[in-house]
Amino acid sequence: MTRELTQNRIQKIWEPTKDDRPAPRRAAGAPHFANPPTVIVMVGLPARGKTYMSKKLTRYLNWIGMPTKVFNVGEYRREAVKNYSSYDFFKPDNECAVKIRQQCALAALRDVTSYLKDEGGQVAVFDATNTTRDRRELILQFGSENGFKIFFIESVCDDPSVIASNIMEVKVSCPDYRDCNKTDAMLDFQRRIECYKTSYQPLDPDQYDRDLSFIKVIDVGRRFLVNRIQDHIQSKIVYYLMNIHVQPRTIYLCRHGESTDNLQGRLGGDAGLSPRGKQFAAALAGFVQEQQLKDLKVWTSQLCCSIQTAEHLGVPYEQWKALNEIDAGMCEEMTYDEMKEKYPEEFALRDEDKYYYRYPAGESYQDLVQRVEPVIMDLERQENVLVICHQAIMRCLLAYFLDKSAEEMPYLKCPLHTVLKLTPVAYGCKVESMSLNVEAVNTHRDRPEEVKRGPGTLIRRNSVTPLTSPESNIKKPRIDDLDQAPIHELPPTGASLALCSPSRLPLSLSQHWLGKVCLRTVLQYLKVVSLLVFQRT
Amino acid sequence: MPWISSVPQFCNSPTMIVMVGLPARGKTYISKKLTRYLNWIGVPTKSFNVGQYRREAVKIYKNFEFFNPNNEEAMKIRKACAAAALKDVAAYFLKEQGQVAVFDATNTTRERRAVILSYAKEKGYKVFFVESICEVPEIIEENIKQVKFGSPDYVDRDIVEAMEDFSQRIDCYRASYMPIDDEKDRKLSYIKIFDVGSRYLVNRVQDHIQSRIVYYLMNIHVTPRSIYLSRHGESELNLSGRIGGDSGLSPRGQKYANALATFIRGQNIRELKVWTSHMKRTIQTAEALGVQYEQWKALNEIDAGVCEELTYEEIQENLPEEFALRDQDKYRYRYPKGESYEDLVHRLEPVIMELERQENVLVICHQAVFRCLLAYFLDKPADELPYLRCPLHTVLKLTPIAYGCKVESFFLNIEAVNTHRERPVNVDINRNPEEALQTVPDHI
Repeated sequence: MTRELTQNRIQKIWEPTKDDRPAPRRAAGAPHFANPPTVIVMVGLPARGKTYMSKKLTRYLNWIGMPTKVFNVGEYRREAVKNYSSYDFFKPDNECAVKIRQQCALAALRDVTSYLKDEGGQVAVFDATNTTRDRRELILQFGSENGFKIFFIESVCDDPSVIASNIMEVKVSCPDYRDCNKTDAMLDFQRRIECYKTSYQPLDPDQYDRDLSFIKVIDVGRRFLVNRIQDHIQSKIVYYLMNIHVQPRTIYLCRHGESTDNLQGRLGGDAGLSPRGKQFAAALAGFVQEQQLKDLKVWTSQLCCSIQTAEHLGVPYEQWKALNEIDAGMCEEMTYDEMKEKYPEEFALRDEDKYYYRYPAGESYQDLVQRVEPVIMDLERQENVLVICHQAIMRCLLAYFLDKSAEEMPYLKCPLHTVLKLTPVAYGCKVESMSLNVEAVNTHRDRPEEVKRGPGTLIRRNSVTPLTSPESNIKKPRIDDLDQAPIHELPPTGASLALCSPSRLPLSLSQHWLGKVCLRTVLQYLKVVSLLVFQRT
Repeated sequence: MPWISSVPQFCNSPTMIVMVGLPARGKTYISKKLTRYLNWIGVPTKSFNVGQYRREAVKIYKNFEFFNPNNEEAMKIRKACAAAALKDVAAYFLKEQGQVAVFDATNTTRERRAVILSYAKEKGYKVFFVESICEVPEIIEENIKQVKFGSPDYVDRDIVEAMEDFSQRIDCYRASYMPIDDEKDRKLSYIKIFDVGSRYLVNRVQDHIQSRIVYYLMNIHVTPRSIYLSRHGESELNLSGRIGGDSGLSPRGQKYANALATFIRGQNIRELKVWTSHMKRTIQTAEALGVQYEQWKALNEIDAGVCEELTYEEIQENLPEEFALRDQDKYRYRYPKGESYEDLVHRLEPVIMELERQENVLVICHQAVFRCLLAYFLDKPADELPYLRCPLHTVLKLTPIAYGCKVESFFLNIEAVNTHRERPVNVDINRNPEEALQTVPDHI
């Protein structure tokens, strides 16, 4: 017997009628391809771009609706050992440090399990060096025990200038080196890398690792070795990694000049520029000239106002249908007031859940993300680009670059006649907002205060709500059962113990994190070490 | 006449894709499939198989001795064939506005590849190598069985004899085979495919089109499977001759859904995935199957914009010029505030990519979407695509075989209206209504 179908009021999706329970929000655009959960495991010496790739990949996956989170083991280590003193901590024969580092990895893995099993996560990125076979074996076991797929991403690079540049960009300013000057930091970090080199066992596609699924990124993307892709999400990850690059460049986002429809407060349509809109287009031409960019690509949508704006620039531009404004379906060319009057229920529903809400016979922001994804992929390949688009589209693009969640995306401020200049820097994106001083109407509608929020749109099992890449777990208490892990008493010889600055004994180690057993051990270690310190000086 | 497609064209210099590999490594399979895909997404592509040039030059193939590297006369002929093919590549780019040429030959020596590289450099073409490396005997044997025995070279041979001859042919190449070298050739752009896709090595992807090619090659597979394509059951709007909309199934449409369920069960398909669009009529059809299905917005019917839910008669009455323009160029014509077939193809590309990854799939979709998908599988060009016949209540079963696709059509014996409108004779905007409506199928 065929089931009755009803159309979900917000997403306009036909679903079998359920008795009273609100239908769970599901993947609108396309089927979900990420069961079972996947753990992406980074592999590589320090300063090879692992964290850069982890964060960028996470941002991309979250934006396309795949709940993803990074677990950076270095951050766990910084929690455990509040004050980093020097590279000696990373010496392979520094037994106590090795233990701490192992515990950190295990703690991170525990959090991975919790994220993937209990918090609705679908992909976890395990960001650490993972340079030894032993460590990777541990992770593979972990994956197997929990039913997680494992995909390795190894970054291999031996170009000294690339490495030095990475170190300058993200390492010398990291918390480990907050009390050091740049030269000392650079030197220490390079010694730190040496600590890993001797025990580094790269992935071996020919023999040892031939049955694993992985991608080796060689020399910042000049070459890739891809082994045994298992599924859709791994295929997308590989495609993404092969399209990103680290060349310095700038992306400019702006809307078309004010249109005659804007003046009337109408949604959608395909109107031309108003006189002020034309002024903006001329100002934009001047602005672009000033920026003195080499090889700027200009992209527009296929709607009149966007193309007219580009025309004023006097340079070649390319039209993308995918950059067209959100289709307001039956509400096209209405004002908000007309919509409220003619379709009051739709109007209210949109305010209730603006990200998922699909206009009748139109689109939702969620649909937009799907539509705009090939544009993002191409933007990643490009260098300097100016994108002249529309309000909802610009919000989608901006949410991708600035890692904004589905909740925030539909309310990002993208005023007319303002250019956003995005420059990738370190692990994120610098944004500069430049208003070109041409008056325009305001088309922004804030989230109404009195709207009752729908059921939590954030974390839901198997949901496709883009999340801002989640904050790291470090703040939460994690391990209560460290007692389970045996920790041997330290031998009193301290020949290779790391130095800790004596004035800052880590009494601030939180009691949560370390069970009493470990605390005792660590204090003993520090006692021995401070003896050493005083001996030396 | 220049036209702007819905996606920027990303090929400036033309690109030569150069296949590399011993015989029976899937080079022609990849060449043909890649050519089909690129043409479908709108990149004019053509494949040049040097073996065919050789068959033209040497009408009768005797035996593997032709391929003996010491056979000087044969070597001359083979070189000449390669040169002829290269000339045709240049002509394709220059005179036929081609954008990608696939140079399908073994190209197993560094010397031969150097010739191609210098030719391309001189002409300003980009070069991207695709090397297929495989030493798994079962795969090679299967390849030989699937495509070599049927080739003109072996058409009158006994199978055992043919296999023996072909193996010796491969050996002729083996001695001088120099695979692309990761060190010496590090400045070249290429992808190496190992063991039919278990591993890939990708070096120096230069541009968008190469990136798309790599992505495509990494998603295709050769595991036997079938793709079933069907439209939704007859809908209420179908009955009244209206296009678009989001109506439910008519009683006959519901009958079809049940018949489809029976048919699918009868096919005994292993692990079948079922995909529908977001429109009620496809979902209702899938519901009758009683299995899990996935909804894709990308499978929605073409958006007829202002013509949604109109009959052809109404379109002729209210928008006669639009109606004529559509008949003039049905592939590129975009409904006002709607879509064109060309837009549909771009919208469907992720569906095709995922279909390539999958195994057994049943896709329940709509007329225009069906035509686009079918054109991809059967390599139909843009001018034929909008007129492919895709009647209601008929399932097409597509099974990849050799270099193409076997098609089996199953009409499930439930009457339905005809929704196919042929191109009328007169497509002039000044034609009279009778001429315009000449080919409209009957409806209520």
